[in-house]
Amino acid sequence: MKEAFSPLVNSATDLSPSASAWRTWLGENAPRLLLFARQQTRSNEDAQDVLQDALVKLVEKLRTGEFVGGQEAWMPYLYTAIRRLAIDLSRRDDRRKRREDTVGEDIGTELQEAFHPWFESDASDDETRVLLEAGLKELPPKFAEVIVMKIWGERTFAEIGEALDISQNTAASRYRYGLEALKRKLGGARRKGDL
Amino acid sequence: MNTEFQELENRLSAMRPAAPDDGLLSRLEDAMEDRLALSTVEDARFEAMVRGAKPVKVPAELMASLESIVSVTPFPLDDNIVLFTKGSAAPSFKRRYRPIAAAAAVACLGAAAALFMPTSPRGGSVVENSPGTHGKHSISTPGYVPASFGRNVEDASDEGVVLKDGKPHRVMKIVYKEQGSFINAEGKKVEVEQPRVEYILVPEKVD
Repeated sequence: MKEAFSPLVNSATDLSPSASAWRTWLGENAPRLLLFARQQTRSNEDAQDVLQDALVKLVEKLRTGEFVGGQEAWMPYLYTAIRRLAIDLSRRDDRRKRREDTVGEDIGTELQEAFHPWFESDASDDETRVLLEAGLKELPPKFAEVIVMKIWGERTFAEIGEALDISQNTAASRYRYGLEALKRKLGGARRKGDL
Repeated sequence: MNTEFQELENRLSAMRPAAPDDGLLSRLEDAMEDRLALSTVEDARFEAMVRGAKPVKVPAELMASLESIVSVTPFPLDDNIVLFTKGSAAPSFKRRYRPIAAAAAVACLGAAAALFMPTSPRGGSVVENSPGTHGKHSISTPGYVPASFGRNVEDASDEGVVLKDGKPHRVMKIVYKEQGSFINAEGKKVEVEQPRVEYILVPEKVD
């Protein structure tokens, strides 16, 4: 006859504390990073690749103990890494495009982008989202990247300046200019009756 | 040739640079007065509207891929405490010192000691094979006396590092299963088992 006493501890959950913490962290930050990667690259696939590569770089540094700073330094590091990786990828793509005829590929990429929106779809305000996304894509990248980092990445101008290798004032100025340009685009759409 | 040059120069010098637009002037003034980073009420309203658009959620396959990238990397809570992963209790870089092995060895020794420890007159953890020669036993069922006791280590995991008295200690979680059997005068045997969790602090080697 076998009797079991009531367990002294709760049974272990499926996830280890570390995996659970990573999941929470990624759940909060991965969408922001992916949006930034989308803004920095030419396609959804490129953005995903760049995001993964940036995370691999962070993880390698953490594991080897080379990473300087605590958890609060991860996002600035990842923004910088994503930007650098996107620039490298863009250079490689440019070289490849010079070698290949990619007219058909460009059209395919544009069509694909339509199926991968940057923002969550909300039926009540879907038009604004579409116009906002279009406005961001039309903005010169140097303004759009500051807006994406400031609004959705919740970075300070000092952090943005550091990540983009510009002064804090330049970051703030680009933000203001970008926001004004975006406002004009959305305002124009409103006047035209698109909104 | 000189006349042509002179004429062009005159025409160019008659031109006046376009005035900067109001937006640029406003930004320049704000920069001079260190107000560039501050939003106007109108800007703040527009910002709030823009912020209302939420970035798309990361697709499930991408999230799975990101989680696999970090799966073997301990999550540092701060400088002193690190959460370790299930699969890899310790970082993958070379470590000559194996705290899990040390803690498991301590636990096994404890279990072995419990098994072979002779009956103590003060009671406590006892293992008895002959039901005739025992002192007091804690079992509540009348007439039953301990017949055997064993403790197996079921799991040992690394829970990270904590500071104790200013020195780093690795926290090892040891899960045992204690098994005991009790027998009464009629030879009826009862077996019981109970999980037990112990946390052991192992001094961390500091280079």
